Amino acid sequence: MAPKRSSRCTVLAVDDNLNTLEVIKRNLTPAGYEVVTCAEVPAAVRILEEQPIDVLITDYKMPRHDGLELITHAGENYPDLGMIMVTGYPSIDGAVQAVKSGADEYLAKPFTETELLAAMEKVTDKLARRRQARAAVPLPGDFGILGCSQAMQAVFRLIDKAAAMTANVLISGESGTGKELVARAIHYRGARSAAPFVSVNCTAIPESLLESELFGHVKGAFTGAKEDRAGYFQIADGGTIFLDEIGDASLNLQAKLLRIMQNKEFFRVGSSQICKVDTRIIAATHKNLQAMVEKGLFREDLYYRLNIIDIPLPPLRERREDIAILVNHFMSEFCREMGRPSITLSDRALQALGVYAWPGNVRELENLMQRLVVMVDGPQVAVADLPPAMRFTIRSLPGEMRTLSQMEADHINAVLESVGGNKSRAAEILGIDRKTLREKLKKQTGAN
Amino acid sequence: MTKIKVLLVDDEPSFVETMVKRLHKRGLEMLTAFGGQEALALLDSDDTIEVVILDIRMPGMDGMQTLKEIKGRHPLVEVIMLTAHGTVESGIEGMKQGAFDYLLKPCDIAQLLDKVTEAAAHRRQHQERIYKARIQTITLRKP
Ligand SMILES: Nc1ncnc2c1ncn2[C@@H]1O[C@H](COP(=O)(O)OP(=O)(O)OP(=O)(O)O)[C@@H](O)[C@H]1O
Repeated sequence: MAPKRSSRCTVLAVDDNLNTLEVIKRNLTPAGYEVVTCAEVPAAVRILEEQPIDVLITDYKMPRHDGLELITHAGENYPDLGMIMVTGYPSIDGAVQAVKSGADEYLAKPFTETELLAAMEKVTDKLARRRQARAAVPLPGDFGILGCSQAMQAVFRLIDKAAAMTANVLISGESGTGKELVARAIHYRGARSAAPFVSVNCTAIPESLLESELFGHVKGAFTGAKEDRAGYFQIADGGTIFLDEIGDASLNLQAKLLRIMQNKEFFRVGSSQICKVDTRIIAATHKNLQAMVEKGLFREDLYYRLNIIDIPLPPLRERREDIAILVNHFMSEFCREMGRPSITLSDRALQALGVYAWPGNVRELENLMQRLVVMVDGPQVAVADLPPAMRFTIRSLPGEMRTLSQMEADHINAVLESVGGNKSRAAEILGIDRKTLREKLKKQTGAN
Repeated sequence: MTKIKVLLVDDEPSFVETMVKRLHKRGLEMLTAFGGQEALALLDSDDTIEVVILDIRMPGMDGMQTLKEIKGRHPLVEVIMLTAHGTVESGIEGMKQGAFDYLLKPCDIAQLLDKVTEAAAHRRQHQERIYKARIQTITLRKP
């Protein structure tokens, strides 16, 4: 875990000239900064690893490794770090390279106290803005779960109910419907919120390792077990363990889970000593466990112990009312992250998303918004910007019988939009000449 | 590999003319604009332009302002600043505003060509990455 950041701003100054280090220290300390210094790049790399640093000030020319290498390294590894490049030989090229590599400010030696403090202030302001933007993302209170549909309102009520109890919970739903999000909400809303929430994906860990990962092992239990190790159940003692994809647990593992649920006790791998824990279990699955029970693939007794509180998460296609708010939320979040003005979706694009089947549910929608924010240059997303699978779903709008001329008009508009309003290309696709297209459009506006 | 489409923005007609000739000969598809507004209008109507070579000193909307507008409206377009009046300050400013690089006039045509190629590759890679990332998560996660 990262060490806790103190509220004071810590500066790491790197220069092979000890005088410069002294000057930096003398100027910054009275202004309330904590200053750490070192004289070469390898030492700086080590310090960055070992302690939280807010701002890095580095010299350009140093023996063996130069400041540019350090800036590049730090920029790649510590996105939350402010960086100032200092140099005795200012040049346009040097300045350009420094900023290109990630420096926030560039300072020529000798600098005055005022110049140094001004540069520091600019960097710390920028840092504060960056952190603020990040902190604004999770919505406290509802843990970022969005939804205005009846179905999601019911889920919210179940979350509240589950948070008030300590019984086991089973969350079922397709992939990407937010099962882990719900599990976190239950944990952080409940009385156990100060204790750890540990998330384990049962399919991500090979069967042979799963038991020792979950329950821990003692030294020498198997080749490679060089020392005692606590398992996830123990790490989550007092808190919650989230077992994702529980439907994929082997029957062997199921037996062990049942034991821990019944008696709150387990054995570490390689040990015959009983361990006690108090860990709440929230399990999730995208499979139909009941059907698995009937087929003998999932233990019935385990199913009933898990299923004390049952939270079914509906797929996105069964709560289309939620699509628009999810779109808005992710759009503005990604725009802010990318530092670009917010973009909107054209009515038709939104309509296309509204009828799409969303096999990947909210995760798919989230990924699409991220991609659109990066790929679409203009202020609005058109149908043409959407992946092909979503583009022509508009035609199959359910429950609506249209006249032929209405269908023709809709089709013309869809094609027009997909070519960004280029009438020659639209006419070409429609197999008519430009004049006919113009007439049809005129008729449309006349009819409306 | 399709030709790299480049927009050269400079208010000096004779410079534009020679540069276009020379870069065209080296396999680039060249468009030109004589000012910031004209450049923006072109970018707004043509999203296949990959790289902009931008002069800093221009009457009307200057290069810095143009750069800011371009990166705001078309964040994936790469901009190379090219100027006869370079300073450390404007170099820093340009890079902070998101320029891909900052070169001084007169500049070696081979060097400029290298930078344009690098910038276009950067843009294409960036697009590719985003596309792949999404395809991957969706296919991996499909139930
Ligand atoms: N109602 C929602 N509001 C906001 N974001 C959501 C919502 N539901 C899901 N998400 C987002 O969608 C993504 C997938 O959610 P999550 O990982 O919880 O799904 P999951 O059902 O556990 O998926 P899997 O079974 O594939 O692991 C996350 O980024 C999550 O933040």
